[in-house]
Amino acid sequence: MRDALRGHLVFACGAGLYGVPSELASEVVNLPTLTRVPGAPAHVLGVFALRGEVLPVIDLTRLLGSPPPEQEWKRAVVLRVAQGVVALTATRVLGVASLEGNGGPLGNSGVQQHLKGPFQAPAGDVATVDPEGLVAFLARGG
Amino acid sequence: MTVEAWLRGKTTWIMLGALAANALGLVLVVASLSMVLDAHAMALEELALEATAAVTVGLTALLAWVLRHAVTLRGLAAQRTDADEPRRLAALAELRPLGTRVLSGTLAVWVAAPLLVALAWWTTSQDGGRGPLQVALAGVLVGPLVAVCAALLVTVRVHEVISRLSVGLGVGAVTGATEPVVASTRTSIVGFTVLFVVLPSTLLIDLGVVSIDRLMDQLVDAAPAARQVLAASGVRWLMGQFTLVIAALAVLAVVTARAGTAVLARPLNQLTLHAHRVAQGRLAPQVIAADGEVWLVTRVFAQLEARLTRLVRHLGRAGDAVSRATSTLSDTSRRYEGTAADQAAAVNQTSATTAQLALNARQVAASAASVQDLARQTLEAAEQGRADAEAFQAAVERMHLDNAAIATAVDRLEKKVLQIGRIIELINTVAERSDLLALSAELEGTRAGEVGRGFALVGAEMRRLAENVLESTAEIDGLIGEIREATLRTSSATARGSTLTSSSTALAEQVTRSLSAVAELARQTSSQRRAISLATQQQESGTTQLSDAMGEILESTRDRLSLTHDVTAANQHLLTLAARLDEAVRRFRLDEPA
Amino acid sequence: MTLDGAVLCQVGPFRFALAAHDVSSIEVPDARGVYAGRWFGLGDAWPQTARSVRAPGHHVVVDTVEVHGATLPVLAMPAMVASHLVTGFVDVQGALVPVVSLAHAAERRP
Repeated sequence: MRDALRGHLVFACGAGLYGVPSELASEVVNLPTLTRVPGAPAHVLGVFALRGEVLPVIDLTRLLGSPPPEQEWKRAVVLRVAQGVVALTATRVLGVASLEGNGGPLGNSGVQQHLKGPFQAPAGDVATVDPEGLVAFLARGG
Repeated sequence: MTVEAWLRGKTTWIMLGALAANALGLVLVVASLSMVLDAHAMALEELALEATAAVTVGLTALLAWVLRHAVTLRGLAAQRTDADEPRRLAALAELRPLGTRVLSGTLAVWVAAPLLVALAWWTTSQDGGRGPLQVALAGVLVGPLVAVCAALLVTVRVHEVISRLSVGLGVGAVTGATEPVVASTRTSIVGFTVLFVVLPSTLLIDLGVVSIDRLMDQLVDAAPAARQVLAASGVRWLMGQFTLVIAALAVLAVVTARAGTAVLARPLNQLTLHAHRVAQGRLAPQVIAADGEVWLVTRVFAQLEARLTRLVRHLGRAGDAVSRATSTLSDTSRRYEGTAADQAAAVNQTSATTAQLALNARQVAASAASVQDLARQTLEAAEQGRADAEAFQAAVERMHLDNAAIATAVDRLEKKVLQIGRIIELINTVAERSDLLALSAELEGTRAGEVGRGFALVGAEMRRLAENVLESTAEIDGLIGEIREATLRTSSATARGSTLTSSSTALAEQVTRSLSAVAELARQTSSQRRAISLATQQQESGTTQLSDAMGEILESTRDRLSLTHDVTAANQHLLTLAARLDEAVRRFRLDEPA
Repeated sequence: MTLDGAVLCQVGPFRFALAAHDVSSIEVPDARGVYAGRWFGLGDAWPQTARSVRAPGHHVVVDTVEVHGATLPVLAMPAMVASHLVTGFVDVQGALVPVVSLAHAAERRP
């Protein structure tokens, strides 16, 4: 199937480019100082308050087991779904783009089943994240 | 056996010969008188008795007289006194005239005793006939024979005693004490011959004439018938008496001859033996008693041997001394030789050193010349260097000023750059926020669908602007970083330059001063070099003289060394000689007197 | 939901809050204590000046202790963060501090 996935916010996290549907990406924030959560999994870098709401910050590279980025996290992409709100770390946010190509799920288990790809964007190959699936996965304990 | 022990009872022993000779003479006289006297009135036995008594009295007187003159000898023989040297010398002096005394005494007894008997006979009986004359004649004829025999027998023994006594006494003392009996051998032999030829012949002729005459008278007086028997018995008796007389004479002659020859030959034999010993090198000076010429010979020989002994002793001592002295000399010489060799080596070394010194002096002179050249070159170089240094100093000062200007400029630049940096930071923040806003606008526009499309485009455009600004500020940031780095480098460089120029200025000043000093020194060196040249010339001549002198000393030391070698060789020779002398002296064995 | 009085605990650079009514005493730590630093990956060794915060059936060792008397609103724990310790967050002078339940901690000892 070849279709154009329109309206994806594309951001870089470590070596890879990821895209989230722009209707689920509520905003992009500069990453503030985080509060460490004792007893939380390693991919939870911490939490921060955004307009009276506590947002957990998830490090996608740790979650996916890919190598950590060379530069520091500067920004975070805030995803808002029915189950909750979560911030994904980003080294760079490229902007909203239409993705092309027919990518499949990257895996059958774990977090991989919530990622699809590869899709072609002007900046390169992009893996899309299913925000609902990801949040549900995280709520199960990661 | 000591001399004292040997001397015991030797007085009687000496005189025994005299007694024996007298006894023999008495036998002779009695036998001869019995041939001529039986016809006379006087009894033969009575006559013999008288004669014996007279001779005995005479001999006793003779003995008393002789012994009265030998008191010391008697003392020694009886062991009454010690045989010390003065006593022995005295005894020797007493012994010497003993033979002569016995001769004269015996002669006197034998002349006096028959004369007395004859006189007594003649006065008591007027018809004695030829009797008393015969007695006197017998005494006169036999007396000399007995006296000579007795004297010789005594002399033989006296010689032996003298030889014994003089052992260990000085030859001079002995010869002085024993006065020579001056009688030549020829006279003695002639006298002896006369005595033993003329006197017995006279006696025998007289006996023969008288006894035959008496027998003829008896035959004339006898009956004719008995004449034949008488003649035969008378001749037989006469022959017996003759035989007796001749035997007695012969015995006397033989004994006398033996004694005479002993007196002559024994000293000669002893002398021969002694000479033989001397020839073998055994020196033991001893006086050999003798008479006449033999005594002269033995005395001279004894003196000769004594002198030889002294000489050998001296020679031995001298040889020892020479040996010791030579040995010492040899040692000294050897030591001196060693010292001389050392000295020669030292002088040799010194000479070499001196030669080296002379060479060095010449080298110094040459060096001084080259020093002058160097000094001149140095002076030129120093003058040039000073000019260069001054130029350098000026350049450095200019550089210092430039450097200060640069430092100020860099300082200003640094401040400006800091301001720019702050501005850029501000711009960055603004651009960042703009970017986020634009991103949010874009998201919002996207979510609004078709209505928000324009909004999203504007947002995207804004984002690009903001990103451009960010990129530019990043570039500017990089540039600012480079500028800051450069200014930092420049700043430190100018600081270093400042320090460097300061020190360079000081250095240049120092160099200028040093070069001035060098130039001054070079000028001084040039003038000093003349002084050095003069001094080295003097030194050179001095060392040359010294070298020559050392050469001479070396030569003389070598000469001395060779001389020392010669002395050592001579010493060695002398040592050999001394050894030889010692060997020669050793050949003489000095039998030290007891 | 509010927290009436909190005990603010510090371990290294990190802070956490305990509900004041949970804490029975604050003492000098003994050998049986558990250092809270291990929750933040700081190891088990506590400093000399450490304090032991006791609750019934449990006690935890921290570097310093500070009691906060005011009533603080508690922000809810995000649903997708699974932590057995943290029940929520309080805002202390503009900074989020996790609220730790010692009862939970006692159930699952670190």
